[in-house]
Amino acid sequence: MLKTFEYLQPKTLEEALSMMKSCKGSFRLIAGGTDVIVQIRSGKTPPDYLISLKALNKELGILEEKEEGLDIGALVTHRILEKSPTIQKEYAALYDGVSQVGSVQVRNVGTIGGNVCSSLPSADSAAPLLILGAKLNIVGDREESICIEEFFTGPGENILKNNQILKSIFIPKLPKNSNSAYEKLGRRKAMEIPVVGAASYIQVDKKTGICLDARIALASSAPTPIRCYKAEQTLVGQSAEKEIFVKAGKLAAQEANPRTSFRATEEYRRSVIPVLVERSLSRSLNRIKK
Amino acid sequence: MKKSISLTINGTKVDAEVDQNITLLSFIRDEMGLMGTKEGCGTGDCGACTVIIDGLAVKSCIYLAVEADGKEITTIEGLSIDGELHPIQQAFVEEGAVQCGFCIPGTILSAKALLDENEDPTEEEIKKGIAGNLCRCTGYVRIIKAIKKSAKVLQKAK
Amino acid sequence: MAYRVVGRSVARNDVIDKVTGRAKYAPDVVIPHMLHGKILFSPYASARIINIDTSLAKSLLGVRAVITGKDVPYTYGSVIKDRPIFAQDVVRYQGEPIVGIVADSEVIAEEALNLIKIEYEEKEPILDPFEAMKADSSLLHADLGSYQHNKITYPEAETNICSHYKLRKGNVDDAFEKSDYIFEGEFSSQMIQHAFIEPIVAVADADNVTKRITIWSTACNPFVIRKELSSAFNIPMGKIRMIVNNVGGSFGGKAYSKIEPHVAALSLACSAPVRLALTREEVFNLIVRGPGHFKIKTGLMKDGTIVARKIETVWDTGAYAECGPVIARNSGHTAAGPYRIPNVKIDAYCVYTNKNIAGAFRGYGVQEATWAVESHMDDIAREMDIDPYDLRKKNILHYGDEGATGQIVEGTGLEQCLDAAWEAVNRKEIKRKSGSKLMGRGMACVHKATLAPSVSSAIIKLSEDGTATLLTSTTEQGQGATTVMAQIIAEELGLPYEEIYVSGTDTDYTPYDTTTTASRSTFSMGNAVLLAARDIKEQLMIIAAEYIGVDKDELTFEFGKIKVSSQPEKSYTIKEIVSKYYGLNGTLIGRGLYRPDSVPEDSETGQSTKITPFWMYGTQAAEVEIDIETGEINVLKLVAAHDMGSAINPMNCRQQLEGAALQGIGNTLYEEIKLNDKGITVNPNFHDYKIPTAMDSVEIESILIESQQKDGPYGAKGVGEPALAPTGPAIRNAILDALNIGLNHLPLTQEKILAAIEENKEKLEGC
Repeated sequence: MLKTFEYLQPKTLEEALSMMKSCKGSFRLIAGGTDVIVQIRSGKTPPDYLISLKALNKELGILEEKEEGLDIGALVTHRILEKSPTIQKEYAALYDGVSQVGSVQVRNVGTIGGNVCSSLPSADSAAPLLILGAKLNIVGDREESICIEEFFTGPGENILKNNQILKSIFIPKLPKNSNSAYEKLGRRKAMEIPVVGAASYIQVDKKTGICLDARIALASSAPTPIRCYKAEQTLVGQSAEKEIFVKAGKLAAQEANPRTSFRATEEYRRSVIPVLVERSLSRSLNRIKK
Repeated sequence: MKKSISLTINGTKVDAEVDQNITLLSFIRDEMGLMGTKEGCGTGDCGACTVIIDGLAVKSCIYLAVEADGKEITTIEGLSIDGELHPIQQAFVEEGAVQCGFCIPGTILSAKALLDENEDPTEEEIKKGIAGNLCRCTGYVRIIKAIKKSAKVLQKAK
Repeated sequence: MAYRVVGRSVARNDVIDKVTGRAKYAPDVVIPHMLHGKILFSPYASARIINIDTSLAKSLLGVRAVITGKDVPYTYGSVIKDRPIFAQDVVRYQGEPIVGIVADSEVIAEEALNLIKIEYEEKEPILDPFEAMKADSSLLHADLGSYQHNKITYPEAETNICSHYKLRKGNVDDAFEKSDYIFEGEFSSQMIQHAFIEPIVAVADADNVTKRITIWSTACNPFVIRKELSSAFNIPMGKIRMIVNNVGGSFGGKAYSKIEPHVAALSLACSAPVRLALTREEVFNLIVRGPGHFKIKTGLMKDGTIVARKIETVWDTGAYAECGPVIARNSGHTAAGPYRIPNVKIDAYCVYTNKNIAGAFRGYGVQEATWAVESHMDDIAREMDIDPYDLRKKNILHYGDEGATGQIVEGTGLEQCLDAAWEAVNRKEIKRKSGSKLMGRGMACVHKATLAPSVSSAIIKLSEDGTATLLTSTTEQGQGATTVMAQIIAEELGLPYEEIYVSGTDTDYTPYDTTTTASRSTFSMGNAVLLAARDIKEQLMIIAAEYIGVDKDELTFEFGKIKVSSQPEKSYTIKEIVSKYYGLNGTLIGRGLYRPDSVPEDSETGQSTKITPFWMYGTQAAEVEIDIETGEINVLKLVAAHDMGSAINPMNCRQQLEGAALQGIGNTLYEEIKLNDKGITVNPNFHDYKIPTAMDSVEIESILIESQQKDGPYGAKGVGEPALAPTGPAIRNAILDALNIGLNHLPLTQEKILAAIEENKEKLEGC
């Protein structure tokens, strides 16, 4: 049995937003609940109200492929993304990330919106979304779309206000001759949060092999998931091959700001970031070649 | 405060008034008396509490009972029918996949959910499918063998 | 000799209940009108309690009892009686029980817990055992000198050393003088946890007037706990009833009293049934395997013959002794390694610190000592440029050799294990290098004693339909003991295996068994069961003679049938004899009592001609690959060859080897209980305390060596524990083989491996 709270289940997004406004006392939104229930059980911050988004599947649970890209409702589970052929083929880094969240049972329930809104530096979906150019669709007093880079503000913190809900995530269609990958290093091979995670996206000129565009992002390497802009820049205009990937990896490690915790030291994280970045880039490149 | 929920457990329709703050695990064990679903950690890590909800394996210790409203749930007690073991259970017996047995109901349900959606999984897919079910006794060797075997039996039966 | 049931991999007799979810464990026990208990544990590792105010908690609606150390001023402990049930003014570790609450529900109990106000005077905890051993260290137990303790514990009063075990054989100083080579090494093993999946739960139903106490619990030695409770509460043993059904894994972690004294106190306080269920976090804080430190020095002759070995070990046992002194002592039986060494000196110090309490873990003392000595063996081999296999082969204990404890080796299985494991792992050539990965192979041997002295007793009830029920107090923890016992009865009496039923443990009804630990059940209880079956057989012959009307000497018993020498064409079944004899209804009762031989050790030298009824032997070999860019390690294959005397149920034996092997991989590579500088556990959960998942499982080849234990039932001995110990050093030695780098301190995390690679870049050249 958990600490006492009142459970509210709005039927529409509008109702949810108005409940959030009228709530007298603290509340938490709950989607899959895989993080929230554990936190309530640990008793640290029991809220007065739990506002469940489970009934909002029609508004928040749609995975839709459009001309210009992919719309992912915040309530779409990791498991649905993992099994989507579109994600597997066209947004491979996201597949790499979401297919390694917790275990099947957690992925069946846990949502992409929840993973992003928990805003942990170790979130497996965050680094892939960062390199895929994701935009977050947020509703509150008004609806707005922001780049995911602007979302995270600290460990477990983001820009969402008390009256806002993450509605969906949009990922633009990738151009030709581009691909992505996410490399995760954990202590064991499953049920793991990353010691370091590295996502990459590159686009190459098929004829010359020159890198036309690149994005790199890291998990568990700073207080938030981060982009590594200097590392990206060093790739553009260069021949896409191991040598330059290694250089990018080293730059990424310089841009990172990892911390020492009982899970791993700062030094260790710094020394594996270049390796993971290089491996991620190589895998992205191999995927283009295929 | 209590809420009324209506759900199906192992094919039987159940209407119940539940506290808002109890987990599905606690509902299944304490209210329904189905003790085959185990609590190993209460934090969604060990998988001993795995049940199947609408075809999906779920850890019932991190799932609120109120959210099971309208769902169809299978627990380990719902697997054997008319005194006959389910082929997965039978394979666990034959392959020696069981030691202390505490993780086994959850593992069998994860295996069932896996085989229901993928009738011929590779060894890697089996391992991934049960990675959320910790077992400290067996080293998983025979559990994996048993799932492979039951996949074959189930395919034949089709 | 060919057997019909023994030696066959019959399906376990508990398996149907376990796959259908019907098997009952202590957490499933529900008593009508049962109340719920909760314990307030200390948040500090070291403190003095100034004041406890429970008034608010007591006045909360639904609270039935609130008790503190003042209400139950009792201590317990089988090895050293040093442990209060609830703290008496002093807090010695984080997680020390301070207040117990009984309420109508767990939620109310928890609410009441938050209403308790305790004033502590926090003190600097002693977390380093070497500091604790210093003469000027403050004392955790000022009264150590006056505590009751068992005969194999050697406390040093006015210190934090709760036991100093000594082993002296030959003269190591002289032998070192004469040695051609001397090697020294330092090793350590970390704090880990058993991580059994079933948490610790107990239900007590006690009455404060009659003082009758019934407890359902997850215990694996209910008679030991009954004795501890009887002594603590000063209640006769007969009034205490312990019931244990299926245990969801123990690995030693559920041995000795865990929460049984607390739940008994809570139930006595309100004369009502009380359930006390620990959360996973509380389980992590309740019991661990403590850290160990080893210094080893070995003297050898030029040809590789080991002539002397000196070992000093320090065991960080935490705040209370639990079985720490026995762990230290038992490590001494193993620490010299399974080798023929004429001069051995061992000092094992078991030391109190303000840390989590160290208890039994699957071959206690042996895992840790094996880690040190088998790692040291490969270091010696490398330094002397001898093949590690040859070094072991040259020095290994053979039949007739005298081991370090003074006992003559009776079995021959060790060398067979060594050869079989090394052959199996070398069957295929390995690629030494592939991309950023380097591969290597390593091995390690183990020898382990069992518990002595000990007693097992069994009762068999033979019903008139020819089916039998065994009453035994061996607890089924997953090891398959109930299956093996049924096989022994089926074989001895010629009854169908499926028609032998085995009871759970109930100390009111099932006869005494010392403990279900130490890999002793197959041997000790197996022998008791065999004697009980023979007792039944003897009685059958007497009544058969009467029923058939012949002399007893004319009868022979052949696998369930009684034959008469004068009537070769006729035979009588057991069912026929029993049902005819009783006419209508009745049972035969067979009794078996087994006390294995052993000789107590000399307290100054540790020498004994028979320290243990039997020795277990094994060898494990590992093939690993290491990613030198990240330090990640993959165990590609693990071979476990163990001597089980004879395999009564080969599948059960393989289950033990496979399970222990993967547990060993976790212990070696990922697992560690981490404490912060205040002595507080930072990872008491399954996401940060990492045990292997199915994705981490590896190819395990189990090899059963059957050397026939002469006094074992059908030649069998124990097999449950030894396969854990050699896994670590086998992996470590494989890393040494791959990288030319020896890692001496567990766990071997990827981080540690990468750091070692970076420090020793020059050693990698040529790999």
